[in-house]
Amino acid sequence: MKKHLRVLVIEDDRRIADLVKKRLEHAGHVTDHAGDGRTGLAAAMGRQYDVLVIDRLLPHMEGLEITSRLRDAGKTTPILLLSALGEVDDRVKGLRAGGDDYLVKPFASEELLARIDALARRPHLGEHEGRMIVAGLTVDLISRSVFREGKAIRLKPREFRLLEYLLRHEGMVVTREMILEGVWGLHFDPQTNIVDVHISGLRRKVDEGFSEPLIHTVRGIGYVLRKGE
Amino acid sequence: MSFAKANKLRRSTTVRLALALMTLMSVAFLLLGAFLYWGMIQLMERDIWLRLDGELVAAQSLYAGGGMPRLVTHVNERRSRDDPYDEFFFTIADKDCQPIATTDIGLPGDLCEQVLRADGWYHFRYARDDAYARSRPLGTDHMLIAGVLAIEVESARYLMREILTWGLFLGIGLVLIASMLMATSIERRLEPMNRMSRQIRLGNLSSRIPLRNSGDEFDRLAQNLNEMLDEIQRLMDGIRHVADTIAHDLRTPLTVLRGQLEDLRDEPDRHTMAERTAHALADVDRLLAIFAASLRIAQIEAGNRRVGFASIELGDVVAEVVDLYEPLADEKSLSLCVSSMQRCSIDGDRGLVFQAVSNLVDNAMRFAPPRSAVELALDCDEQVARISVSDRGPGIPEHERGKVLEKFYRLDRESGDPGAGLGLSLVAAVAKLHDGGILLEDHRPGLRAILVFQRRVVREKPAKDTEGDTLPS
Repeated sequence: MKKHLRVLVIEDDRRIADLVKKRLEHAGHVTDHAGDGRTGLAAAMGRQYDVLVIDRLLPHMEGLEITSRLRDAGKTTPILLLSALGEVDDRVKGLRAGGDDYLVKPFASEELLARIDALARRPHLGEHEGRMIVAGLTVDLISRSVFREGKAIRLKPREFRLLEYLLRHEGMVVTREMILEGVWGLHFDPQTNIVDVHISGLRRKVDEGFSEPLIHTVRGIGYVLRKGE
Repeated sequence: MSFAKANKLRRSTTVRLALALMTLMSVAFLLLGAFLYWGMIQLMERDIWLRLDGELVAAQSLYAGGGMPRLVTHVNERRSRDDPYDEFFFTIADKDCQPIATTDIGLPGDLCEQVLRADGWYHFRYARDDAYARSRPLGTDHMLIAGVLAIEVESARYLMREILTWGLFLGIGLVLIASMLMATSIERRLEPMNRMSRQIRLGNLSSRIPLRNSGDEFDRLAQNLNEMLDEIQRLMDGIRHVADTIAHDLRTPLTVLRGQLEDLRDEPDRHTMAERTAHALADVDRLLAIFAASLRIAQIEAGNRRVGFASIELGDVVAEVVDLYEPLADEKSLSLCVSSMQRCSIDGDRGLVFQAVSNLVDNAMRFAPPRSAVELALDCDEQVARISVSDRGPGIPEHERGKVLEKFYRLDRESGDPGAGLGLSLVAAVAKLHDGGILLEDHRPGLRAILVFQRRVVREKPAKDTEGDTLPS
């Protein structure tokens, strides 16, 4: 699994572009930047990237158009669309054009990083005959049963969905927004941090009383399921 | 007429239509006139043939009665009478076309041959008039040629032409006047609207178009425009209000944030610095959330989101909200339950409805005392769907129930509690978007918040502005 990614950022706002570039490079990723649509499309077509971050509103060519052109050309590079337009229809339009994720401005750069990570590495903890295994934790997707270190764990349907989401993103930090979107299909920020409550509930069942915690909190960003601290 | 006015008239659709009408009417008039003309001429000519035939028959019976001498006498008598009103002429000729007697010596010499050749009516010009002649045999050796001058027809034709020409001019003149009148009267109805639009463009949003109260199409247009202006004004006021309140409400947190960053800058201890940074970041996140929420509410209120409407099953939404909030209820030792449920679908935006119900449940749980119940209920009839969220908390005093839906309004006890007071105003905006509303009632004790939705949402918003977001109890 690659630790350092090659990322192309197509964004015309200089300050956001600099901010993103700096954060990405700080995280160890190699970042290229294009300031307008045409240059960006050319760059994306010309070189191989792990993730493309494309702003929707660009001079010369809109982000959506770049996305569809890339997809038409057969490029499967994951694309994260950045936008000040946050309506449901905008989101839907973005995903329909071929985007893989959609982040609305203003955003926290941790959110951006977590999502870029998730996109580049692609949920990967594969199912093997419908089962997902991490350390001593076995999850059977067909029978909906969960076992850890030999003990059976009874989960409510929503707890199971949450665990499945974390497992599919094993090793990747997922933010609260991502969890809300991925598990409940919600695109708003609830007034209270209910995600935290769900996570602690899940931890009580899955981590408490076992050899090591699998669900970790990453301060300021979100949560991650992985072996070891 | 000034150049500008002439130009305006040239481009006026009304004038164009009027001119087209005028052309059409003129053509119709002309066609009608031509038809009448032709018909009249036909009629008059037929009359002449009949009379001429009558003369011929009379002459033949004279011949039959008194023989050739009798007829010749008659013809000569007629000639000597020289009646200027007699339009008929006769010639008696032998079988070689030699004239024996005639009423008019001026007739052309070859008349007889021509008439025989024509075999029927022979048409010729005689004394500047049209003339027609035909022949009838008289016994075996002679024949009678009778003819008529078409003076009457000529004068009739002349008269008709005069009438038609004058009629046409009159008609065109009338239509011209009519179209001018029509154009100016329409212009007069449209001008206030154009003037109003210019006013508004210049920034005077409060002007409205005066109505004539005649109920005609211009009045309807004016009314629609006025209502549109009302809505625009309402939205602009809304935006201004949001901008003001946001500015107002963000000034303090931003000042605090600045202070925190100043402390950070001056802080020597690394550990404290990290802590302060974390606090500052949390404050920034809070600010960003306020921005996002305010913007979302404003967008909802602008009402464009109806394009995304689909059929939603409310029972599912309620169940999902409960699913989402149950762990929090457990943590707070509250019981979250659904007291009534049924299958009930509405037209709406699933995400927004979910968020609205979610906000209500969130609020309820925040104020509910431990070990009490937060109840959800879904009731529907044919017209409306009601989702109610009830708690046993302190409730909202009656005088604050209206205000509490305003953006950034916080009840006294809430200050210091993060949330910025936007939750309920979002709920109200969502309800309004779905042509519904929110009711706040006393749960005795506690609060019952009822979200009301119309089951069928009209694409066009209702004409009357629903004042305030709380429906009358």
